[in-house]
Amino acid sequence: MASLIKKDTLWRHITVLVPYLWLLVFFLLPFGIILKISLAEPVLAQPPFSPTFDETGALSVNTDNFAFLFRDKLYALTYLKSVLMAAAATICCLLLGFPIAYGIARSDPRTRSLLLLLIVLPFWISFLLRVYAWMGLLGNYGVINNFLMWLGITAQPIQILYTDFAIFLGLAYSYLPFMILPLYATLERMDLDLVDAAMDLGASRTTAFWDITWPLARAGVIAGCMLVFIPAMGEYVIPYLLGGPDALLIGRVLFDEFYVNRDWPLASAVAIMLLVLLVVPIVVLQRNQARDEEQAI
Amino acid sequence: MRITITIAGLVALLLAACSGGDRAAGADSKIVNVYNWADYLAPDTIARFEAEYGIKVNYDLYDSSEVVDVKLLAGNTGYDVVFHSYSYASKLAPVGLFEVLDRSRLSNLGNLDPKIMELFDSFEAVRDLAVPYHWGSTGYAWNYDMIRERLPDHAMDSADVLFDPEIVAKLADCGVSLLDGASDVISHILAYHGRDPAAVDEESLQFAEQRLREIKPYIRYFSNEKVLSDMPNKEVCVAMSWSGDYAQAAARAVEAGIEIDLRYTAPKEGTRLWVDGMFMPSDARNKDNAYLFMDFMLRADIAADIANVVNYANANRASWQFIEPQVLEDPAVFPDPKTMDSLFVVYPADPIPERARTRAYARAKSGI
Repeated sequence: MASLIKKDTLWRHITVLVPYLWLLVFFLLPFGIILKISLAEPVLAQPPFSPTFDETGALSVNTDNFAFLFRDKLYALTYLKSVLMAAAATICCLLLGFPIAYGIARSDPRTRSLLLLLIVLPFWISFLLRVYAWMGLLGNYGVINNFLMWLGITAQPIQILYTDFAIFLGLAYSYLPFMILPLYATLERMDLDLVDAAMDLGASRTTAFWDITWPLARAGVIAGCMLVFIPAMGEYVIPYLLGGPDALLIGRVLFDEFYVNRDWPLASAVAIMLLVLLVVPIVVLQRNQARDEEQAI
Repeated sequence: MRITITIAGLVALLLAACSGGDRAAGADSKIVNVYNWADYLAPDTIARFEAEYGIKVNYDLYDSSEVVDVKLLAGNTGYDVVFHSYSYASKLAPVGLFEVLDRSRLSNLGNLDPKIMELFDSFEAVRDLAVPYHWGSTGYAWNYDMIRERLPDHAMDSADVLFDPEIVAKLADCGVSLLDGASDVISHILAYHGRDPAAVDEESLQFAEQRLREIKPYIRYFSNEKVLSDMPNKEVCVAMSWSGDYAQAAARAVEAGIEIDLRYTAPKEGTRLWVDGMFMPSDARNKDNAYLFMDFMLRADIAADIANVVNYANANRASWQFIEPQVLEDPAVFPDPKTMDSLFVVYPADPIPERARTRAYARAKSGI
């Protein structure tokens, strides 16, 4: 009997260990390596940064890279621009995604899987190809401009490609499914009797939505927003292909430091700052949410 | 040290995962691993080498010089022959990434033109490390009809359509693009204003940054690759680009059934020399086969076949008799004597001034 319990707890320990091991190998270890590089100096060698311990075995740490990020306003401005762009795309995805997810969740169960399939279907085509397709749509002599000129709305092509608007469009388009799917998951699980009960008690449709549906969907909203905002923040391909000359988002700056300047330590410092800027607000948000829920109970 | 090795290993692993896997093969096998630009060989070159020598070629492609740099710096690429630009490789040479080539094993070196080789020797750092492949000038491709609509009588022999704010403003609506690289853009701005293109002192960089800021509002974008698709699609009417790119863009237009009259100008104020060469990483495993491959590429008939397809100039004098006249006599492909005189070399600067140049460029580009 005693051995059975022991075995049981052992298994529990092992299953708990798996996610920790995953985090250790695929998050903490790479993070440690990047942190290490960010504290080195760029040197012309293979690999192109100074070792953490010099020949005498003494620890050599160089914080200049981080200081440089604060000295040169290029970085602050690109971080800010990336945040604004990602936030705009997230809001757009939410405004479009919520009604879509709501519609799917409330549709006939038989059509539901078909509708979900349609949302996921674009993933079967390479992401890069879809962004290239947007270049063909938005170009000066692309589908949209040709159509507008054919209609006679404009005589000269309207510059859409290579503008910030094109980046915004690309981000919102590419990440929309990441908003819809978690929203759908929470809305589908929601107990509809609660809405009926609210309306029985005299709530209007709008009141029932804001007092019942919206709070219950909040977990999905937060998950969807994170799934859109975080990758959009560091997006490289979309601004590169669709953006204009001043589309200097953080993903591009990272690329330039790493590939063009061959300054791996500075590039690592940029990456670490990006992580700090993303992780700290999210942890605070989650703490607050957990506290709110505790208070609610 | 162990950590460094682990990191290098991890980075290499990551890069390998991204690029679809490196080659791992023992020495002395009948293979050679080659890494080259996309669209940079004749279609039958590899097959002919394999048939003649019985050596299998693993042919891998890249589309940006930066990626090659990073792979080489991370080490253990598994490649035996790497095609790379002389200016990029010059920065990597002091690290000892490349093998010093044994000239005695390259029997076809005599095919090369001594005068052009003298020109290439200005890239001192790679003189003993590389076999030259293609080369050319840096200028701009332009759409004849779109330009003539806006500038009917303009001479189109100067870099003013790229760097004079008044003229660029007139072309902004049809699209002007610049190459995306600090050394290319800044050196040509300095040359256009009659200054030393290679200068990296503070005053020169400030001057160039200021001039770039003045034209930036009229520049549609900075890119090294988009010219190939955007010239045929009429997204831009003037694109700063490397010689030969315009010919590829024209070929793509023909493929797509678009009628377009593309031209190329190497600006009279000065044009930067670019050279691509074949290098052997010092950790190459099949060095004997790599020598055979390089020597094969130096053969007159092979070099001519390739030049006829890719539309770039080579330094292979013996091959010129086999090159089609419309390629050989096109001054946009094989620089004419006038262009030869205006060629300049921008040698990579030391890390600190190089960073200053990149910063000046990035600041002007982003408008900060």
